Amino acid sequence: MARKHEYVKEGISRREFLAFTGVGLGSALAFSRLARGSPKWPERPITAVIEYSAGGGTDTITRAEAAAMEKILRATINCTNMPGSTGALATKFVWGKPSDGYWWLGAAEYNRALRTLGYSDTVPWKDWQFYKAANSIQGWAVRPDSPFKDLGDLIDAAKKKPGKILVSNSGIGDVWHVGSILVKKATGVKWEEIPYKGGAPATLALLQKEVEVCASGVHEQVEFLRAGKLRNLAVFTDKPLEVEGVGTLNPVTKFVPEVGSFAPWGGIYTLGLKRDVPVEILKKVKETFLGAMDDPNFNKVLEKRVIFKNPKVGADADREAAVNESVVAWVFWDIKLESAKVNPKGLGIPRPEEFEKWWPPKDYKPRI
Amino acid sequence: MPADILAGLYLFLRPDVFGSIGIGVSLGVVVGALPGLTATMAVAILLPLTFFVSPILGIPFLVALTKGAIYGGSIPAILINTPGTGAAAATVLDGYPLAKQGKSRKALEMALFASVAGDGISDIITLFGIGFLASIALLVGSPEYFSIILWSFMIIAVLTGRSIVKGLIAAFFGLFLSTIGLDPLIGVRRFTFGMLDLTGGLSIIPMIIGLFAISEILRQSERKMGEKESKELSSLFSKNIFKKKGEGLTLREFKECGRTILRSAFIGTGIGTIPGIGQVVSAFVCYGIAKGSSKHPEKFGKGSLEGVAAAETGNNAVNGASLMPLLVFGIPGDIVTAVLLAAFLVQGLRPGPRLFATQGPIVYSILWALLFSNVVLLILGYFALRYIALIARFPKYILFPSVASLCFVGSYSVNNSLFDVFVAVVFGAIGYIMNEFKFPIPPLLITFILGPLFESSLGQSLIMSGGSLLIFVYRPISLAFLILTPITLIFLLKRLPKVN
Repeated sequence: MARKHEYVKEGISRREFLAFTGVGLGSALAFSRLARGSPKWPERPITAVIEYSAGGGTDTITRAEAAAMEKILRATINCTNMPGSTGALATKFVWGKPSDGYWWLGAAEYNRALRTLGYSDTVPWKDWQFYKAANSIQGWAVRPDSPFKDLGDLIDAAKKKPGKILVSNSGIGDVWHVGSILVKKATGVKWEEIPYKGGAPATLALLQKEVEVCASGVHEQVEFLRAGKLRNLAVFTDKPLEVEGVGTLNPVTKFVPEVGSFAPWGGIYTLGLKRDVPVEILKKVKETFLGAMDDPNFNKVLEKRVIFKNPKVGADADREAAVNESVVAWVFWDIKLESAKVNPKGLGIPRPEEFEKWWPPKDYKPRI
Repeated sequence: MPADILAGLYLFLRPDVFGSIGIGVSLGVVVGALPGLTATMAVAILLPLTFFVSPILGIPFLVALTKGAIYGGSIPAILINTPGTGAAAATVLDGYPLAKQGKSRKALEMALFASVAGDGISDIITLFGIGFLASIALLVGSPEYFSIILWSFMIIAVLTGRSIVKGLIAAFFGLFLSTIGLDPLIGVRRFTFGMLDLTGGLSIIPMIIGLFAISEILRQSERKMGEKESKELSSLFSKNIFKKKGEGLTLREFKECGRTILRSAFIGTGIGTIPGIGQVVSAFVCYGIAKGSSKHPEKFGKGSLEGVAAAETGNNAVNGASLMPLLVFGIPGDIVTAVLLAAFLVQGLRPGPRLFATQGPIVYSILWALLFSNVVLLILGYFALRYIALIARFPKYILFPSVASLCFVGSYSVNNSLFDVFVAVVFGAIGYIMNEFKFPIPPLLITFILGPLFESSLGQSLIMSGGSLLIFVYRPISLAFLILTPITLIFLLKRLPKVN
């Protein structure tokens, strides 16, 4: 009882209390105004939603990029996977998030097939801003005892026996299948395609003698090439490609010059943000991204995976996105791929031959 | 090669490796025991941590995690009819009845010993036989997959239920469910009803959570649980947990299952060398074969320790063997090995034909670490069991609601998808109905899991043969399994008692 009495005497008076409260509130307001006045993005962790499952190419590269960018931004980037429907689920998810720069999309190939497959309405070069890091490269491989010495031999043989030669790929409509289609269209030859669940099983099928040729990523074939268990016919580039432990590989343009405009062809690792994210943030992401390209750990990951750094940002990335959409949408439509539901014409997507004249379309404006 | 095996042994004998394995196993068991958390998720999430350590620490950690998880899934499977991972789905068939009879500790111990035995045997075979056994993967092409899967469908449809007709109906239903989504060959959408979430098909984890856990919760809520009754039930469990005499697994009981364990270990190892088949299928195939070869098949499904032994040995034996196609060809057999492949690549290990030639010692050190992690699992598991079994003491009105919330969180967390939670609930209802009408669930699961591979193998084979079905007959291994199917069917029908 006595103590309480003392407290009241020694404690603060009502006036003092009100004064302190007033100062406290006032300063809080003042500081918060200051804080709002100079927005510092990023103030909280960023979430990168990856379109494919853990362990795959897109996942590994996106996580490596994020790790490098974290160091530069001094912020946390949490990577999470949301696989499904060729990236449609992750795309839809990020699209529904606020355009505040805290939601990124770890995508592949600029989401180039989503519109034509009917999975999304968003346009890769108009609704999104993509930042591209690297390419994996397509290669055609055979067993060492194969009669084909290079891609030219394969094409000649396919001319003589149309539809008889068996070629494995990682799935109908997948990167490597489309690459083979581009060659077939340019040369007019036909060979039989057998889809497998990914590049690794497609390579195994070749070893098992189930097929004569395998069309997959060089990075998926490289160990077998190095061991001499497989031989490379050509790679989808427009110049010879140096691969450590294997040697110099022939570019596809040596045999089929017409496909040069599509080279290099392979998996494309693209990071995306919604286009209406504030320009300052998009620009900051661009700086950080390009800085990450020089990060030694990131480069080590690329090197180990035999994936080739080839960054593109801003208007360059937009254009590449549009080219890719054009090529893939029309390939799908022309081969009457059952899952390609939407006519590219209806979407305003130009044929690849008309792309140069069409780009840039009237409603296009570079963002950064 | 033998020099490399020894060099590997030397490299692996380090305290930090032991520590990393210990943490991996413990974490794995916890992850496996929580329904909805899977080994796959844990490995994927923890993968980036391993980038910063050397491969001898990082990779055994991830593999020990998997081993622990495949065992850990048996814990809730036995105690609350909820497989913690898909691989434990076969363990519920006899594990839960045993728990209901008050023999949960016996079942848990059998699960532990069987898991360790299966994993251990498969690791030894892998360590010493990887060179020539890996070439099995070269012999198994699309037509072989088709025939092998057909044979395993038949075993499971016939052996795991009491009525063969109902088993077949469940199997066909599972096959139908597997067609929802994109067709494996061309990517055409089937039965998706315009829903984007269905284009990826149904997810297996929410389905399992629904079929086993949620349906059991529904069944339990049906019963009026008086306070007195729940106290009795939980004391029934607890009395047996702490009484020393008679409730643990006796040596005799273990020995009686010895042949089953050995057989399941070899079958599981064989299945592991074939990429794409997996632990769940192995568990059920071993269970089915054990039932068909058992002296007391009628006990299966009612609380047979042999059933638990077969299932747990079968699923763990896949772990070591699945490294064979991964290391020698770079072919991941499932998502876990796919993530491991990424781990290997980042660590500078290049799975493929040159791996053993260029990096032999370190690869063997990893295999030795795997073998050792079984010992760790055995020791940690045995001492943890008495505390784990305490879960059974909780009154059901606390236990099952907690399980229910775990189920929802677990279903969501697989793909960050609320749709999956919906799937789990729907399958909870389906599981409940199937149970009421005595339709067995295992055939549904197996055909669902293997459906896409079955279909794509058929398609690939027919493309290869130009449309001719004779391809399945011309290839010797495929022909062998095709003939084996009706032979096994007849043999089993004769052996099993006819049930109405």
